[in-house]
This record gives sequence, structure tokens and C-alpha cells, in this order.
Amino acid sequence: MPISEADVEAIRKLYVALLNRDIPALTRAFASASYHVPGDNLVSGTYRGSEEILGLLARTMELTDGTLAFELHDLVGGENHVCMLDRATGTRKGRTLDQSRVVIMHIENGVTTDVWLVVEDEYDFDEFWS
Amino acid sequence: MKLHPNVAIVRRFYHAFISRDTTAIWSIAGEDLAFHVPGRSKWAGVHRGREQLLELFTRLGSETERSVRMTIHDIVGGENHVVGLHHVTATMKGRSLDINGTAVCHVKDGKILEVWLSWQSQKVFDEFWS
Repeated sequence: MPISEADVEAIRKLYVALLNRDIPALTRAFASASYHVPGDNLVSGTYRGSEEILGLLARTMELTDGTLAFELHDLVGGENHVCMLDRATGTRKGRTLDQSRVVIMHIENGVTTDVWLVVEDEYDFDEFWS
Repeated sequence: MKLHPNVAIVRRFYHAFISRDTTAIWSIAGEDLAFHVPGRSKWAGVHRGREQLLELFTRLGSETERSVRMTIHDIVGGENHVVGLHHVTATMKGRSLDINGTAVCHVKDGKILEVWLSWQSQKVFDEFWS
């Protein structure tokens, strides 16, 4: 079933939930999702389900001493996907992260099944999370 | 959901690119269309305007002996951005490329002005061209 305006709105709210660290909302949203992080570093790989995905979020916050921040640039929908264009910033061990990202959400029948993270510069991304 | 008209413009651009229809490409591309290619390969950087883009497309075609194949996975978008999700395969010197990519496009008044490309794995893309 193609995605609906309601799906797009739900993803917009999910982004707000991420910014507010709304754990119950994030837990519900990622229950059936796989989250794919690119590169070859500490956080690369596939995280399945809310527990692993929220664990990743907690870990990235810890690794950055809580400096990891996200800023939504645009959010657009299509037939089967919603894409979020955002910017992630943070500091860690004297290094600075500043990446424009494309977050691709695959949605089926209103449920997020896959989240693919695409970063602007994979080399810098790997260096930051090494 | 109802797709934004900018989505149809980007879809036409993909089809024109895939069928190597330069007339169609330039009917949709803005005069100063820029392709932003990420990574560290010889293609990395900004390719702007007809002359530079034509050279880029010609070299890509000749170096891969016209083996580049692209299929559209989905196109999502709105007023300010359209994101194309595509799959690309190519072969060169016994190596093969098989990769998902994204194209974030700025569309204004029916013309595509800027395209930012990204790959699921930047290193895989760069190694192919090395």
C-alpha cells in the first residue's frame, strides 16, 4: 500500500520525538524496523528492533558526551518512502561531526520497516566514530 | 498520497538520463545545472553546466564501455527538494559495481538546478573507480 499523508505526518512527529528523546514514542515507531548505519566504524551496521535502535541512540549520545544534535532541513514523501534531509553535529575526543544526511525510511502499511542512513562524507563519518 | 509535480520532473530527468536522450535532459536541466559528486574518486567535486556535465557523462560512458545501468527505486519530494533513490550497476576492467544511491535535487520553475549524489557505501563507489 503506498504511503499516505498520515504516514508523512507520523514521521514528522517521530523526528520531534527524536529531538525530545521521547523514548516511548521511539520504541513504538521502531518496533519492526531495521536501522542501517553506513561506513566502517564503531556504530556501523544493522540494528534490529526498538531495543537495538534505542541502544544505538543511547550509545552515540554517550560517545559524544550528549553533544550529538540533529536539525531537520526538509522531509518529503513518495510512494513507498519518506526521506528526511537533516544535519547531525557533535563533538567527540576533540573531533567535530558536521554531516548533511539523507535518512530514507521504508514504510509499509503505515509501519517503518527499514531506515537507511546516507551521509555526506563517509570518510569524515568513519573518522569521527573511529 | 498525491505526488508533488516536482517528482514528475525528476522522474522525466531520470528517464532522459537512462535513455541517453540529451535533448530531453537539457529541456529539464537548468542552464547551470550542477552535479555534486561526493567521495575521493576522480569524479568527486562539482560538475556545473552543459559542457562539464556532457564531459562527465561521456567519460563515464567510455570508461565503463557503456556498461552503466540505472534503475529507479523510488522518487520522493516536495516543493524544495526531490530525492531520487536509484540502483546502479557497471563493470570496468574486470571489476563490478552494484550499489544503491540517492540524488537530492533542487527543482525550481520546472527546472532542475542542483543535484547532490550520495552512495550507500562511498568506499565501494570510490574503489570501483580507483
